[in-house]
Amino acid sequence: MKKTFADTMFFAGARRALPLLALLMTSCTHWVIDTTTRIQVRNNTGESIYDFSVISETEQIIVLVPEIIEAGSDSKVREVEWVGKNFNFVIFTSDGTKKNLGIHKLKGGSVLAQIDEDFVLVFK
Amino acid sequence: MKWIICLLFFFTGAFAWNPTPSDIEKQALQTGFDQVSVFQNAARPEYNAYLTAGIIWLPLPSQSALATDWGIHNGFAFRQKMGMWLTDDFDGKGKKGLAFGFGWLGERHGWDNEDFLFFPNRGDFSQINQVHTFVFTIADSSKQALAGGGLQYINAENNMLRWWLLGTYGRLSLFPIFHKGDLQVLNTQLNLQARALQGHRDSWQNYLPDLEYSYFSKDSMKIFISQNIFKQKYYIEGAFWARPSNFAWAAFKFYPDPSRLLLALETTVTQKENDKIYFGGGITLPFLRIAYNHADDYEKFFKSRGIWIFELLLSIGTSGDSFFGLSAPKAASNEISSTPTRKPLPPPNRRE
Repeated sequence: MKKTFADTMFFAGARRALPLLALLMTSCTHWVIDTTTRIQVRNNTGESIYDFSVISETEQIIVLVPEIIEAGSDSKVREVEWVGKNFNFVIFTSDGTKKNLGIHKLKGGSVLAQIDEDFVLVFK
Repeated sequence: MKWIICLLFFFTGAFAWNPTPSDIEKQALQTGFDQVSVFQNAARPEYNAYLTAGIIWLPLPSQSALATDWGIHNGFAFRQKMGMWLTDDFDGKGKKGLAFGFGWLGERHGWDNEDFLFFPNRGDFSQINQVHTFVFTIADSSKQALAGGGLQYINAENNMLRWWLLGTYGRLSLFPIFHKGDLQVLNTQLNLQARALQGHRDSWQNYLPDLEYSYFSKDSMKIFISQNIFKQKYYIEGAFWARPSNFAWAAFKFYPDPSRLLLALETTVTQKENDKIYFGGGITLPFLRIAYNHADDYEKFFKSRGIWIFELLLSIGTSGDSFFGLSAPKAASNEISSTPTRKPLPPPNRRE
């Protein structure tokens, strides 16, 4: 059977469109976008602190870095599935009081959570 | 190309919406209703088969970030569905007597912190529902009658197995869904509109409305009306809550071909729960649907609004050797349903 012009165009279009479609369908954006945060806490407060956590609107707490961090030292690196914004961070001092560190966002990747004097949290 | 990606990034970032875990949890029952409703429209006495598939693809993790008590988590809302209904006369050769059919519709939807095609990541905040519906049908096309029934499995916050029945006679069709002995849904459909696909002749009856009444409980009932306004190409549709009495959504739809296979242009107006009204619309092409603020997505995709939705979509029914979209009034013309790559050869004596 003779190939018409329309046949040629149809196959040429399909040949180009299918790999593109296949690429989109693989859903690989997580190969280039971080879906976890590797977090390390640096304690510059001058006193020992523990349990770097996120607190919910209903005062529930999820601990991200369950560790006692002495004054002037760094915690181990923890990988957590927290990427996003509007997270309210808290930390506890050695006598058990909860210190509010304010609302921050986590962009994913490696971050250093530096807690300065007067419990000011800075992500670096 | 880089500029296009940048623009896409910023625009899609500006139009973002945040599903909540309770939106996702509540979606499962609505999907369960929708799946049975698809069988009600797709499995008619004269029809042979129905095939559907759909994947919603959202490119960026900030578009559908999940809003929990802890904050806003980047990730992807998704919906993947697939299904078919086949009768033992699926090749449309016109078997005599009773036609037996079997169908399955499956869907998984929810939110995951990574995008995926086959295997979800199932992270700490991921929430994935599965809904599967099975049906067995017996149809007698000479009497315009179909009876069916099946099971429905809903895996959301809790597992649930429901059973349901389907009865269609002429233009009337109804299905109840039960959980154990409790009636959970009763849906009654009265398709008064004359459809060429069901053997009706073109007449003034083309302009009769399609009506649907869904009973969920004493305090929750819905009415749906679809009205042909011109040549079965232009339609006005509306959904209203009879109890609590409220407007749900209205739509103006244009199908250039009454088979609803090639193209659909839709504008919708939807009422949100806080009594705000918003406008949206969509274009449905073969294999692709693009929509923004569409009423269907508010109802069937976690109350989404304010984002562009791209869905790879397939929905084809067959009757004899003709093709059509779901609940279409007419079959596609022969030029449309025959593939462009195969042309019949001329008779041998006319060949050059």
